[in-house]
Amino acid sequence: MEIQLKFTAQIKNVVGNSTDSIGIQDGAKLQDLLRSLVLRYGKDFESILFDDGGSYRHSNLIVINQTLERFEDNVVLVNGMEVTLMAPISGG
Amino acid sequence: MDKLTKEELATYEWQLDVPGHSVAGQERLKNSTVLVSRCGGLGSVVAYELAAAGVGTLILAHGGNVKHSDLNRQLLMTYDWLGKPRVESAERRLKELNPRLNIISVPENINEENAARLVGMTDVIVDAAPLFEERFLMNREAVKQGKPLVDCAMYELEAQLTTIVPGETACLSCLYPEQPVAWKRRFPVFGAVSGTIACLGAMEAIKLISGFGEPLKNRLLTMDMRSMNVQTINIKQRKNCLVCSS
Repeated sequence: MEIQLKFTAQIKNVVGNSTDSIGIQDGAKLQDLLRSLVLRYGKDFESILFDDGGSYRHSNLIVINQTLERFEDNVVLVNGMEVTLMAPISGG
Repeated sequence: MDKLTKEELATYEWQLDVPGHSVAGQERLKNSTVLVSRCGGLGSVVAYELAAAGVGTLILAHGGNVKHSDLNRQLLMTYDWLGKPRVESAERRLKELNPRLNIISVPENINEENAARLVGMTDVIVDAAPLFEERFLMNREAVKQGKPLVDCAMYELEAQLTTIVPGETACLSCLYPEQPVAWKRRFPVFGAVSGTIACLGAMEAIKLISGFGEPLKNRLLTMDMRSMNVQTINIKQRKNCLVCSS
């Protein structure tokens, strides 16, 4: 299945683009997707999303089809979903 | 509650025609106090719009003196005030627009010593601070004292906005339960980006005070001005939030 991807702020900077898409196996869950994205985008991407011990940094927002989802809920993905990874921003 | 004067009725004539607002809503604005945390690129425009709309009292908290690098976006700071306190420049500009405005200038940023007192004096908070430490502190105080908080932020050509109503909505710590690691004090910014989200933030404060429209409760508005994509994201309270969870 195909998942549409969006990135904002510092995550967009390390990915090098604000949008992308990825094909992953049917029935994959959110955490499977994030592991695939770490392989695709590399170390800098990983260090924003995960700490040195491999725990998710919860201040990065995960938005699926315009609804905020929690990493730990590990929702099942469906073909065509849009997943946005948002780095927190505080500029004034 | 203080009534509107003849001059105020004339000044706000056109916005009194907005459905749901009316003279009663304008009187609520006149009798309200809004705390603006930092009058930078975002907070300057928030304060200016609130002054124009007829909010009675603004508390402006912003430390430091005007620098050259403020002038691309901090619209209450002026060239002739370089090297002098930012809050003085802000007060001067706002008074030019609205001499009836009551301004409480605080020449320091929100900190552990002043947060509780300043939040206690206000009806609505608009947070536009560039550091998460200040935002988390303000969020904690707002939740503790049950004060609504409009949280506006931007980065590069991106911006976002949500309205936090303690007891009803997710708070800032529900969104960001940990200290963000990637955020840097210096961020890329055009004044038009901070000004855009500032106008929306000011409108949220006006709606909350006057009592019309649908504030962004449990919704996060995001904008990307590079692509002009705008969306609202549904957000929810975090069950184990250290700040707002009971």
